[in-house]
Amino acid sequence: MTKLVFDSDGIIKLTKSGIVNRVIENFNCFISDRVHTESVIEGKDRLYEDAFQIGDLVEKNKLRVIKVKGSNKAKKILGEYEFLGECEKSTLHLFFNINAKAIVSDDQAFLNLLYRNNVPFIIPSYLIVRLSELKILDKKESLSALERIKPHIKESNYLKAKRNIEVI
Amino acid sequence: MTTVAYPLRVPKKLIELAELRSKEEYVDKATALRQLIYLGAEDYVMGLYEKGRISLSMAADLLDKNVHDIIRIAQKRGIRVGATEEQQKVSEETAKELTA
Repeated sequence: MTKLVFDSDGIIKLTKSGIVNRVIENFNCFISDRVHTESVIEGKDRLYEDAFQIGDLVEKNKLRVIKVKGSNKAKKILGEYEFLGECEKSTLHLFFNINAKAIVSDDQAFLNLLYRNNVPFIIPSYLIVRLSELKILDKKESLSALERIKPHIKESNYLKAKRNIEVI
Repeated sequence: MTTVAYPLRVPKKLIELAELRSKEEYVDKATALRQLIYLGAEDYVMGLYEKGRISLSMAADLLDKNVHDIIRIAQKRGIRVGATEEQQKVSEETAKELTA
């Protein structure tokens, strides 16, 4: 199965969309230990519902947490780049550690770096579109998922994804 | 949040504002001043996050908050962040390669 790596932004937005289980059933999904700390452990401490849902997937071993090892490729890309937190940095290391297909994120600062360095990425709205194309989600489910993350994603991304789903 | 002592000259009007806030919010003047500084910092950090200058995790770190907090603050402020048009196209191409 295709390996996907999520940063905190990616896994939280996908959880908000309500279709994270469908993604996990169809792809091998991974997060770094650092993302786990930020999005699950610290999130649970603050009683965020999304944190409990992500934590549940981890406990059931559906979403795998990997302790990251330093990757030379990631170190070279990150260089002196100072605008990322430890979560995004560990996600890039993990991407190379496990030779994943893509990073799922909608964090513009992180995407800027990935884009410049030709590291493959997928934004959550387009993951929903793709699931619709693959018939993993029907049109109604896809549009509902997109609607749920609408307040968190750019209007242009929302509209484009919506148009793409509607013509499938 | 960890605090450090720092010598600083502040505008007189800001002290007056801190006095007003201390009465309004029932806090001491130093706390009111710290709160005002923090509000300014939050505006600035969220602005950088909105422009894509810093990441979610970096924003959380700078404000001594968690990533969920930043997403909640962004929603409260109507900030919608994400891929640029060009990044959206690249994402679309990568997504097309996914097979279940």
